[in-house]
Amino acid sequence: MEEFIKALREQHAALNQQAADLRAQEKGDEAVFSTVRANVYDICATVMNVQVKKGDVPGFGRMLDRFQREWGAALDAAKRQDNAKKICVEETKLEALADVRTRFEELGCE
Amino acid sequence: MEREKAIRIFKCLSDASRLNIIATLQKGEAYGELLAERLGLSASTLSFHMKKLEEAGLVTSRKEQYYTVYALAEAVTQLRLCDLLGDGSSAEEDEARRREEAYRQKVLESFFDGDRLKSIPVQRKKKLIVLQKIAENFTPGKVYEEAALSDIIEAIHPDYCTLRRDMISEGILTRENGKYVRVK
Repeated sequence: MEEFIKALREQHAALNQQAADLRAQEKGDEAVFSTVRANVYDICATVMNVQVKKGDVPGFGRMLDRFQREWGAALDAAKRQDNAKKICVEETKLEALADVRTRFEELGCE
Repeated sequence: MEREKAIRIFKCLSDASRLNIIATLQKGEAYGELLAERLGLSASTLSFHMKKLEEAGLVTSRKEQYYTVYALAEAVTQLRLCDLLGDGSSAEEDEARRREEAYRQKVLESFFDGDRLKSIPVQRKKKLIVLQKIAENFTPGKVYEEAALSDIIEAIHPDYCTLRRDMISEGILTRENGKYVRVK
């Protein structure tokens, strides 16, 4: 499980670096999306850390389900408001969440 | 071009990816999927950029079955920089006039109590505003006897001598042989 958390932390750091690079390239909006993506990995690493300490690793899957529901609802709201930036932010979060879920499922701990 | 619209265009273009999109579309219209692939962007990121470009009026889109085709809005992209900038004079003048009028109202509210002048301002700029307000009681070009003019000013403030003298020195009134005329 430590390897899983470490991988999430590494992804968080890599995406933050990518955001800095994008900012340097005058791609400000994409830098924001990269930071958003980085934050998802950071949140998931923190949540998993807590679940490990609680001895409830399968609980991490339930947390992912909760994030999926909440961010999905936020995406629907952004679409209703036709808010392009918010739509992109919520889609980015959900894409990153899907990647975390795939990695977690590969561990076979659900 | 309206200043606000020009600002929206400049803001929209201050992003390297959006400039890349414009450069790609200069070669011809393109499907969203193709643009995303060429520029190495995710579908959602491309969609976000295209929305911004459309809002700025730089790009148009149309649906072709399941796909969206984007094209440059030639009318805007063919504009020269000086067309976008304009001379800006009318907007600046309007703003300056608005600020000047707000200041004038503030001074009048401070120094007048209805039609009565509470005190004569010491600062020349404020005094001039007050004198011009008093001068509105006189018809431009009409000749006033000193007594009649003084009565009108005295109804506004007891120190009519100072106000009358100040209006002459500021060129608001002229005096000749004891008769007064408001300058147009």
